[in-house]
Amino acid sequence: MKLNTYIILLWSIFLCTINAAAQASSHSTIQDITNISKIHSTIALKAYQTKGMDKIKDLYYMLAKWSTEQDTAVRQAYKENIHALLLQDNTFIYDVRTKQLKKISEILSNAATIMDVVLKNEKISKTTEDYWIVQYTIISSGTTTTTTVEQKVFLKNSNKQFGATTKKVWQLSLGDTVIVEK
Amino acid sequence: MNTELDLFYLLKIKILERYKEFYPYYTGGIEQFGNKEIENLRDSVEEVTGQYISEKWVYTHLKPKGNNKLPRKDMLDILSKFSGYGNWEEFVFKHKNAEATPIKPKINRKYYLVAGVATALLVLGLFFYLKNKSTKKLTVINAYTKDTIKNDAIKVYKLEDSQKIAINMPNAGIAIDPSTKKIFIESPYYKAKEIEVQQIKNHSIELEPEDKALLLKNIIKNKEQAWQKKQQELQQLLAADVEVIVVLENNMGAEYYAKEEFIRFIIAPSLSSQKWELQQVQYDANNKVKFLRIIQ
Repeated sequence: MKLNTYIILLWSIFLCTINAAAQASSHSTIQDITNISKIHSTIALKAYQTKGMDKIKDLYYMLAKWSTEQDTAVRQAYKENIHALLLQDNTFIYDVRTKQLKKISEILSNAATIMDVVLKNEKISKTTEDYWIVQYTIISSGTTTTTTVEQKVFLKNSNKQFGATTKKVWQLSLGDTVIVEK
Repeated sequence: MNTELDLFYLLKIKILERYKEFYPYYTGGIEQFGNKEIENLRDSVEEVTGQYISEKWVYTHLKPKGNNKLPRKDMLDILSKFSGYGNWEEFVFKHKNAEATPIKPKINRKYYLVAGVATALLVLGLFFYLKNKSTKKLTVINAYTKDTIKNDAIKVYKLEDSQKIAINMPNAGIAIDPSTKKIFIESPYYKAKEIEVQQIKNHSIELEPEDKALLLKNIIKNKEQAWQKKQQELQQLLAADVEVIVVLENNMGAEYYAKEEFIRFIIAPSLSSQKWELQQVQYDANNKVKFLRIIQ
């Protein structure tokens, strides 16, 4: 084989390597995009943030329903729905009964009734790469006690199973709560 | 140059000035003359000119702020004489080149405003009457039960040059303009229908129900139904790989539910899932629901 042939062969291998590297880099860039503010338009992000607040209201509503439900199966369904709203099983939530932060698993292991609450003064205080922080005031039904808390709401692109099919979809999950003011 | 009517308005001023020579305490204008002032004026005119003017004439010609026509010449002569002129010709001669009279009635703005508003309302009324007259009103009914289908359950489009143009339906029924040749109706609860307007009989369109979608709606909305029944029916209706999406406001993004999760949120509803409304239902080859689009 002549020298020219070697050079052409080596040059081709070099170009293929560069191309493959570029494709791999491009592929990983698409997968690594997690910054929700960059991926979603302002209007779309606002829609997700509104939905996130709905989920917080759903959480407190279903906690109250779970605590008073007599039917074991429905009570279990509420419990699973509450878990479905949260990022993890050990997510910290404001416990309306004790007025303290507790892991959701602890809250759901206490059978005492959870009062209905009214949530007010909702506002987004911060948006980061894959979550935002919502500040809101909790007013227990029938009392004047108010507690202002902050809670993380995550928006993640992850796999979801629909029967035998798996799809990547954007999913909202509620994260930890912290007490701002009692 | 003043017109004769302008000059008559000027004569009214002169009459008033002359009247005030007899009754200096009177501070109003001729248009404010009451019975007493009219009587006084008639007396004064009679005294000065030896002529007589009727109460009715004063009411008809002197009291009005605006006059449409010039009074009779003999009456003008009497009043010109009362005001210090030989007759009406002398009065006209002396004042025809004077400045326009200050008491020429101003445009009554209120009158014109009311007239303007009334005219506008009349025109608008006429417009809507004609529009309604030319608009075809249609009712959509269930093909089997013959019940009227509410507007919130259907979407209606005008088909024009292969374009679908949504028809607004703020009131009961469908109102279509005369230019509409063909319409398309779709609904999650009824089979879609495309129809030529000319073929519509008795102003009503029949839609065949999608029984499964109506059943699904009932399961989602019926708070009285036992959860076991709901679960059983949903298990039968939904395909194993059903994809349920709940669209967010302005169709910006969506939430996704798989079969078991969806059923759970029907059995143990959240505040949000209680507001769910079906928007689109698709079926697979086995006639099971494979896709649900929901709005909240």
